[in-house]
Amino acid sequence: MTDLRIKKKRSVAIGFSKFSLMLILAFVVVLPLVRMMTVLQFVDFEDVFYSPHFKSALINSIVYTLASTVISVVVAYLLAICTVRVDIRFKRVFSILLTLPMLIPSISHGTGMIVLFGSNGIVSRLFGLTAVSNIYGAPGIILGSVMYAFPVAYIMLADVLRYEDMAVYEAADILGISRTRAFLKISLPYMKKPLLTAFFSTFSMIVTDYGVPLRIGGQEKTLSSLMYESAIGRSELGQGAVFGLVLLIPALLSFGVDFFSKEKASSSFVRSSGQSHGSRQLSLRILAYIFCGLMVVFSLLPIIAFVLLSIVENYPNRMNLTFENYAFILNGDGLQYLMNSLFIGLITALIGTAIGFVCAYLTSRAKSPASRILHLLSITSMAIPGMVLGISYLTTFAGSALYGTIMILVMVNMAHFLSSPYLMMYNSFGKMNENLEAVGSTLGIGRLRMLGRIFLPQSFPTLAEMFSYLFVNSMMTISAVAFLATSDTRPISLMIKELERSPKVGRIAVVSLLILAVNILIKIIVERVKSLAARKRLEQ
Amino acid sequence: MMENCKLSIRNITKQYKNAGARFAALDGVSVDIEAGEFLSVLGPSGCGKTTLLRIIAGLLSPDEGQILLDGKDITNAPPSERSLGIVFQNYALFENMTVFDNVSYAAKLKAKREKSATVADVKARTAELLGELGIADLAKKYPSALSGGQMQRVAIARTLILNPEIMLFDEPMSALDIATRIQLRAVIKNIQKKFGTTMIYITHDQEEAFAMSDRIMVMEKAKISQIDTPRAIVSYPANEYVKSFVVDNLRAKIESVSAVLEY
Repeated sequence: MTDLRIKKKRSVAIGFSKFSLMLILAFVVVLPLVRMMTVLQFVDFEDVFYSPHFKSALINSIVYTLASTVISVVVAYLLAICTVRVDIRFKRVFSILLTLPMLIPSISHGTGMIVLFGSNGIVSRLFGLTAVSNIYGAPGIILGSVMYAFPVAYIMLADVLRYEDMAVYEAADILGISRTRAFLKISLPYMKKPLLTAFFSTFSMIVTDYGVPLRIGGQEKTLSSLMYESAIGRSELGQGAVFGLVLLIPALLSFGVDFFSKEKASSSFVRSSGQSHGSRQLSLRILAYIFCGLMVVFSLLPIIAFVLLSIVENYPNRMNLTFENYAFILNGDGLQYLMNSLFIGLITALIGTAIGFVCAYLTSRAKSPASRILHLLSITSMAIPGMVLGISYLTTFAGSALYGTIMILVMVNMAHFLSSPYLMMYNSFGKMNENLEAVGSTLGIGRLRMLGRIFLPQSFPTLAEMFSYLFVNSMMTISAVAFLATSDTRPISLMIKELERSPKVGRIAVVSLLILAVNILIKIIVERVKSLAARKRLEQ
Repeated sequence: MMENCKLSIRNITKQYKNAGARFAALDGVSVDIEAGEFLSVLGPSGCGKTTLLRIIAGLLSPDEGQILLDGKDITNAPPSERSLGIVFQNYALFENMTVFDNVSYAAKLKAKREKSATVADVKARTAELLGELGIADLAKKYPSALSGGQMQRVAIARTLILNPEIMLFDEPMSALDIATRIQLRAVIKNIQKKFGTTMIYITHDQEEAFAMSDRIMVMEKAKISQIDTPRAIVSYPANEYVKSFVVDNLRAKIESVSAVLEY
């Protein structure tokens, strides 16, 4: 009898943990959304939908996002082919440099485009195009969006290519099938789903971002910049919520595509095979070098421009060398904001990693019907744009004790970013030996002990990835936090918006570089910790 | 019930639901296993043999039926109180622990819990077992540095350290090459002889079952077709199925090999 009681106690403990986590996730994700919906009943929808602003913003959003998405995905796919399928040197260096733009807030990329290609921009002046160059509007929005979106698509696609089974191509080669045909008949069909997933997630990432269009859109409004202006600029929450609702559509669509393609594409033909070095064909290699080189230059341009701008007094008029911009930021509120960001990032990363780990354990290694609900709750936040979360939080928590605290920023970041790290851990648990629990229970090693001594140490690299993802995203985000930060709790990413009023672009450059520096530092630390841990195991 | 019965499996039934329809994984399976016996459970995939193993181990509970260990009902006992160890095809070693820690970990916990032995005792016993299995020089290595055969030896040592009365094997050699298999067969038979451990060995490989077993239990579709000594099964197959699945397959193997060996 005692045996049965112990067994029961254990499953009760697991059930209780699942239930508590569901409550937490419902509180930070679902409740605010529902609350936002109730605000909508006071809004005159017709008023919003039939306004001339709305129609043009909708068209702009669709057209610009479509253009930026297509460019981003095509560029990303080509880059992935160059760095995975062609035998070039410095692959690692190329992929690191290509993904650097990911570590700067989108709003900085808006500024980046202005200082590069604006009428007084560095590149414009270099080529004597100051008179004809007009970056505001469509070209700026599209270029800026591509700038920060293509690295994300690149990482996704390069990852898929790396795990494609190369034996198929060897077989094609032996059968005398030409490279072009092999590409059209093998590569493209294989990449159909990953490309679709990349397309939809890039689309929803760009369409919900307000950083670029707000900064560089000029007279051209998009739904997201309109939402920002109405909800934050004029405090018309209801109207903002309506825009948010519209922005929810592509995000939900992307979520659905991702969800269903993942469910079906269970590694039937994806498998890690022996490392292939890729094509040695000279013409292909030269092309790959040129293309990667150009894209690296394009990626690094804004960063180089920021460095330059940050150390001169006032571009382009006073070009004398000075650290006045750094002093202004770090002596003023900047230091406080930076500290806020570090604190928010650290706490979000710690709590998020812990919750993601426990959730993933419960859904992947302690399966029950409740696991499916918890899994769904853990990934839904992926479908909600940051701005929508921000408005939801504002309508739900304004006036409560949480409002105006750092904790609400941590909460909203967790809700916003939890799904990706959760999925990283979920997949990693899925790859661990399925018989470990059976071994533990026959050897008399309890569930908790297995978790602490076996699963936790084995998850170390994934935990480091999760931590870094949560931290870096908390450092960069401007969407949800814009609705919730006060002058005391403001993170440094929001300072960029504030500084736009000042004519001194050098200050924005300093803030962008600070964020980049912190993010690079975190990435380096995480990589070092990971490789140290891996080496320790191999040394023996 | 036989005189020297270690494990008695009585009328075990287990059903699964698949797409709404129920189907039987085990349909009234009964067998008595003698102390120190080596019993193979032989059958094609999907015949229910792994389900039976998991029920014996206590990882699954049966819908009906009983399991008796030394005459005591253990049908609902947790796996750790059945005095058995289990060895899987895919090893399921603790990747983050050295070979030594893999083997000693559970014993250390048990010693602490029951205050039955000192850490030094456990260490000495671990070293002894590693020596017996021929993996003493691997003690400080991590599983990722081992070959399949070495990992399976570690997995066996890991269960042996708790002195199980019964050892369960779930197709432990399916992932190994033929030379390693033959070495490991000897290792397992040695353990059976030396410790008098009762062994239940799940396999789909007729040759393996015949080379190692005292008795073989042939299964088909959730039921037992025949339980008998290897010799009796060859001489008197119980039905057409046993004849074709076991006897004919073995014969085909012998013919193909002997044709080559005799030029």
